[in-house]
Amino acid sequence: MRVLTRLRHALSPLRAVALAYVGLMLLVLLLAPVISPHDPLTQDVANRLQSPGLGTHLLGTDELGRDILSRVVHGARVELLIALGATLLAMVLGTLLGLLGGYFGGLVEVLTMRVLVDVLLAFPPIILVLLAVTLRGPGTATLIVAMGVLFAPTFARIAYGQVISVKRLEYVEAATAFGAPTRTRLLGVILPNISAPLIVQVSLTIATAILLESGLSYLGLGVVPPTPSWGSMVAQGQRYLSSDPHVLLVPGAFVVLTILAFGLVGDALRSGLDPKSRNQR
Amino acid sequence: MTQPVLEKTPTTTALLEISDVSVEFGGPKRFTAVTHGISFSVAPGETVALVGESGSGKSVTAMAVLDLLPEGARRTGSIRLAGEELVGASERRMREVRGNDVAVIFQEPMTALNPVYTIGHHLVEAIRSHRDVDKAAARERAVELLRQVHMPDPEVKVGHYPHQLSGGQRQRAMIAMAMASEPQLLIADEPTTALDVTVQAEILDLVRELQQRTGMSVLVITHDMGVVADVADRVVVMRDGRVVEEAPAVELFARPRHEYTRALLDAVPRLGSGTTSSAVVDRDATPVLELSGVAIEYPGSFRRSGFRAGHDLDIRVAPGEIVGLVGESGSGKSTIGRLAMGLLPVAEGRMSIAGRDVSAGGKADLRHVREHVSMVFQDPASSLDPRRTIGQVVTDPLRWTGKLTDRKACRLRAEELLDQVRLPKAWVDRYPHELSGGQRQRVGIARAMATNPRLLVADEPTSALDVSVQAAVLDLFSDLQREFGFSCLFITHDLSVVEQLATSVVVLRSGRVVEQGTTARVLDAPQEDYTRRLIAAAPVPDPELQARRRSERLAG
Repeated sequence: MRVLTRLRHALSPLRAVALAYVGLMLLVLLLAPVISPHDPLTQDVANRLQSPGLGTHLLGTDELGRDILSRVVHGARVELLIALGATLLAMVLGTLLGLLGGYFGGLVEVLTMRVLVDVLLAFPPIILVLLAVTLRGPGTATLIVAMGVLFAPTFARIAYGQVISVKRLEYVEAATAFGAPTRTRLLGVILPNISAPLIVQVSLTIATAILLESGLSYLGLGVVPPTPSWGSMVAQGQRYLSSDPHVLLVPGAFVVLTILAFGLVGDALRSGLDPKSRNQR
Repeated sequence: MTQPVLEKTPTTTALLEISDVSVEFGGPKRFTAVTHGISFSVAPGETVALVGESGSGKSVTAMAVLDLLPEGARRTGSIRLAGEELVGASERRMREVRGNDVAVIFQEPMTALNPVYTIGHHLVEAIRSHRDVDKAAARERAVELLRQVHMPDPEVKVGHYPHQLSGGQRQRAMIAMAMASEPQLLIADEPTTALDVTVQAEILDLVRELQQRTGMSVLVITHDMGVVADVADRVVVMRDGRVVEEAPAVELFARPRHEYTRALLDAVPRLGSGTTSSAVVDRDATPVLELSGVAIEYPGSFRRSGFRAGHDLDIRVAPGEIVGLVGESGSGKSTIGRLAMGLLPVAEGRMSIAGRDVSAGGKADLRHVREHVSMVFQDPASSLDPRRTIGQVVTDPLRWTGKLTDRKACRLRAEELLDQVRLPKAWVDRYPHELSGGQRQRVGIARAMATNPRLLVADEPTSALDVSVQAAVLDLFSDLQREFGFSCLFITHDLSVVEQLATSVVVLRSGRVVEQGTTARVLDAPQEDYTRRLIAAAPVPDPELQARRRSERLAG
């Protein structure tokens, strides 16, 4: 397959490390309960604020004596679940809107691209999520739906632009001429041909979602404590910044690394899936 | 106009002397040569044609002269312009050469002109870049240049933007820009490929006239043997990056020495070589396609009114008949094809297909159309879905209309179809990009054959292909037609293709039928002036005949 060869070409050492990290994170997502050394909620006040080191607590403990590594691992699970869920929702929703708006044009375009997408884009993202959280109360499901809706316009715009340029091509007209029903034309002919930029957007959106979720949790609007989440861990660690910086730095580092890794994988996909930019690193 | 000087031997006084030039494309590790040791020369005042099919290296060689090669390419060997070595010359010197001594015109003037500037702006820029004159003087000179290239209303057109001009006018503007520096050498890269035949003839006349007036040399790059016969004094034939033959034009056409040149000349369809169509036509049977008084409209929106692209069309296609639809761009020939395929509605009049009136365009009508009509598209590179294997592509019409759903049956049918168009059965799992242009068009034909159509609409199926490939595809097409006996609406701008294939011809202009009748009658004894002009403008690969026709055209 040429696509695989191209993707391999697009993989610089840095991107390969990023890809490996993303793979590791996905593994953590699945295996969190098995691999975390301690229960993330068990408090051990006698051993509070331990520094990282070889011992029972590899990455130290927080102010309540909870094992930070276990909390990071479980936090990753929540974090990624929300980010992936929101991105998936955004992709399906946005792509559908973009496909319909771009293909049919006219009134359908007004309804999808103008009324739904542009209106959504007009809201500041944080305000929109705050609104959802206020109405529904914080929680995983609320976050997934709110962020999914929030990120959908990006996908809609990408899909819309692509459909506009692809639908005039002869092979789409050929599909019409040879009797393909509208659904087949949209999902069987156009969608596969516009998928590359959407796939790239998936990894970039995951990065953005992690950042936003961390931000919301930091503000106390994300995942409900005591469920561990990176954002809330950073928020708690803030108080101990001068005495025990690891409480903040460890979850903070994971936020940064994860966002960076997904961004790099997105770049790799972008140049790998684009037939015109071979060997670009 | 005087007869061109036909015999000119390259001497040491050659204006451009290319010897042992290779162009190499490379990555960081190694270079791959795309042309190998090209040598030829252009004498002052001479027109040399560089001929070859796609991938022969003709454009790359010409661009090497100006060092206008794509990034990562390098030139080796020796390129001398009026005795001065250009390989290894500084970028600064090359810029001077490009601006003053050598000018270029390209195939598609729309992409070579900047859409946000007026024609005048382009010209003034070109004039002032090598002559120290003020703006007013430059503008005056711009109008003068436009007059020299016979631009209609030069005083008005100087203020127009590129999109406001027609294709031919844009090419004239490009030529005017090229002439601004009074170059010694004009490089014309497929200057008329994007133009209609009648416009092509005018542009070639213009180049010829300017050359005779200024005494410049011209290097024409083309794949069209008709253009070569029309303008060239000497011809350099290229193939796979090598020169295979070089000869004076008259000699090359009369006595081609190299096998490849012969093959190339044989492949060119010639007007006046008689029809090879052996279609069996049953004129008394119910016509496969019948248009009576049909008007076609591209639908507008609530803000824009629709655009009418066809008026009062009466066209009949009998069973087994091949009807050639000819006309220039904008004549509505493709529109009629799309109408017959049910892609456009009938705005007025009546259209029936295989005896059923489908003018209303309801669901059942469309189903009927899809069942009986099929289509081969112009450019196989864009009409085949890049994400589907060719096995899928050829059976798509069957699956989409629900005629064949079983995977295995589809695969068998796909193999059968590929076999019919003489492609290996094993290719069902390949993707279109793995195929050459001619092979792709075979896939396009196989797809059109999938439903066993009564009528095949072929929209310029060979115009995107090289001549040698074109001949093979046309042969295949006639064979299939004979074997399956389908009727065909063959849309083309090329009269020689029509003559070869069609039993009758419909000549179109601005959405109206100008003339129709049997192929022999229309081509041999055209009744209408427009048809005559069309026939006269079609270039033929014969320099002497071409020269005679030129003088007739200019006299008339």
